[in-house]
Amino acid sequence: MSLNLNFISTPQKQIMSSAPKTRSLNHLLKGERAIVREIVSEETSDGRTLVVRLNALGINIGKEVSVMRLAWLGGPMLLRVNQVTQVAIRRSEARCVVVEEIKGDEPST
Amino acid sequence: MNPRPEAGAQSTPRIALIGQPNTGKSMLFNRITNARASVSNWPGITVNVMRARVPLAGRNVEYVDLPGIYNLEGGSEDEAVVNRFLTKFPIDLVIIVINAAQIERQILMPLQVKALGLPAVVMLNMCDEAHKLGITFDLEQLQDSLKMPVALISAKYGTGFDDAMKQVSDSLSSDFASKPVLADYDSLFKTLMTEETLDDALKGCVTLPKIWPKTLTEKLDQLFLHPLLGLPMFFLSMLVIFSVIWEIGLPSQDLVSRGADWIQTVLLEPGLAWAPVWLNSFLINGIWLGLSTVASFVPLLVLFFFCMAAVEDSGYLARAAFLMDALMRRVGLDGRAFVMQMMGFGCNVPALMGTRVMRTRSLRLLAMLVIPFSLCSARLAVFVFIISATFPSSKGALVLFSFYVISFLAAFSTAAIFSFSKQFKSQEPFLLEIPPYRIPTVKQVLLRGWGEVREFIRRASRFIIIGCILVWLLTNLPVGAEGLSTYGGQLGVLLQPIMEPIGINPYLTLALIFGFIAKEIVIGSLSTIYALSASGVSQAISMSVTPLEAYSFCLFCLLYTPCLTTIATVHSEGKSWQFTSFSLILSLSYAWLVSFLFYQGAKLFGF
Repeated sequence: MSLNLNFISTPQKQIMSSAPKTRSLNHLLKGERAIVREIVSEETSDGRTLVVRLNALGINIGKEVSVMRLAWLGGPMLLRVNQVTQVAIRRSEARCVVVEEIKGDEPST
Repeated sequence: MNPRPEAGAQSTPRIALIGQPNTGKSMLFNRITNARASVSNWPGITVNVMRARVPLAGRNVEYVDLPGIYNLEGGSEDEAVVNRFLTKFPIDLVIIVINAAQIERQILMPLQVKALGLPAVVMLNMCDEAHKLGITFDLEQLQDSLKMPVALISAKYGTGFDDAMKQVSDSLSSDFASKPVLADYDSLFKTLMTEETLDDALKGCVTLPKIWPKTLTEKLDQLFLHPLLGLPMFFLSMLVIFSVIWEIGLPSQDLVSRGADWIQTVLLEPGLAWAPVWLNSFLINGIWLGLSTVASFVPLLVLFFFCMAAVEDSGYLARAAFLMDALMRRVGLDGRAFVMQMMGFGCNVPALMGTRVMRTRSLRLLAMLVIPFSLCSARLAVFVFIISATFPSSKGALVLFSFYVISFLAAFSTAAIFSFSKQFKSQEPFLLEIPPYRIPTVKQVLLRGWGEVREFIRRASRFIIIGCILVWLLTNLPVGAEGLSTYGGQLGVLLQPIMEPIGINPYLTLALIFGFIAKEIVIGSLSTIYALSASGVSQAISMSVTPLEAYSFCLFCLLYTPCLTTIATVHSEGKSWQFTSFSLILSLSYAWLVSFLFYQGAKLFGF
């Protein structure tokens, strides 16, 4: 069972309706940008730790993330969050983040 | 050194530092306390909490550096520690450290501290970086919004530091009448904080730039994190650090040893001439040996922490973790463990201390379990001696190289096996902030190195001296005994049924017992055991020990406990007798098993 444990409670329904084409963050390629739509995590203390850490580093619902680099051999992804923060995340952890891709011509925030 | 457990009206006000990791909190703590802090025991708090008493505006204040946490309501180990601390020990004031550039996210912490009902001041750290990015702050408005004093500082360069500390002292005096308080977590849990709460708190206080400047970090990362060049760059930088430790650290260790020898021959031996032989030997080969062993680590540790602080503060450590993670995660570790493993080739002790960068206990213990398999410089000296005595010189380099390979294999296989067990399985999500590149300052590096070395001396010396005395007793009793007739020698003979199948004779077993203290003294002890000079020992060994037996001996040397100092460090860092004994037993049985398989296997194939 998966559950949204985002400690900053943002109304869930709104997001679902405005998220037509979403996929997991780990599928993004280098240079792609996306908006975080949902954070799916298990209802365990590990899951909660993950959500707390994601939030603290700025990976929150509604925020933009972009992929700066992908490490070799399926290693972690390097993300840019909030303009000033760079975050390395394993692809297994990135799977918990559901995003909606921004097309290249849209203005960046 | 127990703190006052409870304090109604305590004489010394207590100030706690709170902040996210990577906010420069410990750097600020070092600046405030001048690195005069020491690890203190707090009942019920299992991790190291640094504390120092330093005067502030004419009176003593106790500063406590709490572990870096992401969220006061989080459930990680460090967050639980902070929770326990704040609910058990009353606090007069909290200093909340924030990375000024990331205030948008980190503003959560002051809001949460306020909900806990703790008096606090906020320090926006790394103001130089925020300034460079073009972020500006309206401090007065922010103070009004948070209802607590806010200062803009740089803990690294000292900008705004004096004014900030004046705010701290003012806050203390204005609250002087009130008693120190405990955190009220119930009220925090009842406070709902949404995205809007954070935005409201910052409304009009922070101006972000319209266009973000392209930073130097991005340009550097194009080289250091390059898909093809990144790894060679990583190994190159590891090589540089390794050679610094090798070229400067090891000779300096020799220098200290020679100084200790000088003190021994010029001062101690003549000075103790009056003493009976047993007392003389006890003082010199027992206690003095222990003291000089501790001292010989000091220059190496200073240098190591110099390099470590430089690597960590520059932001490269996090990048190394990023680069090596693909490989290390397969054995249950992460990229940072690889860096420590490499450091371990110089000396295991600082590498073990360096695992503190890993915050999850299980991950850290796993790293500490495998680091002692790193072929450290002291073991190298033993190998060179034994190999040159028993192998033809043309094969020497190849034989030595094989030990480096085995060292890596042993570490990785152990990690891979134990990462399945519950105690060592890492639950920490791999989610690291990659900080911008920063130039470490000399002052910062020195402050930190000094603090670490002092802690090491304080904690390890007792353990090491006791160990040296034990081995002395073992190898000098009964009175007048020598070589195999001492208790240690008898133990060597007694252990023959175990050591014989791996090709190690009682003399070499006794040398291995000495080797518990430090591998540096193995060769010296062989002289004592064989009662021959070093060159004589070399000859005796080449006559009596076959290459096969020598290789087996080296394998055992490589895999069993490196030295007493390592055990002492494993214990003081792991804070658990169970873990220390487990690590000891694991390495002993692993060493025996590998030597056994090698020796018996090689014999089976007719070598």
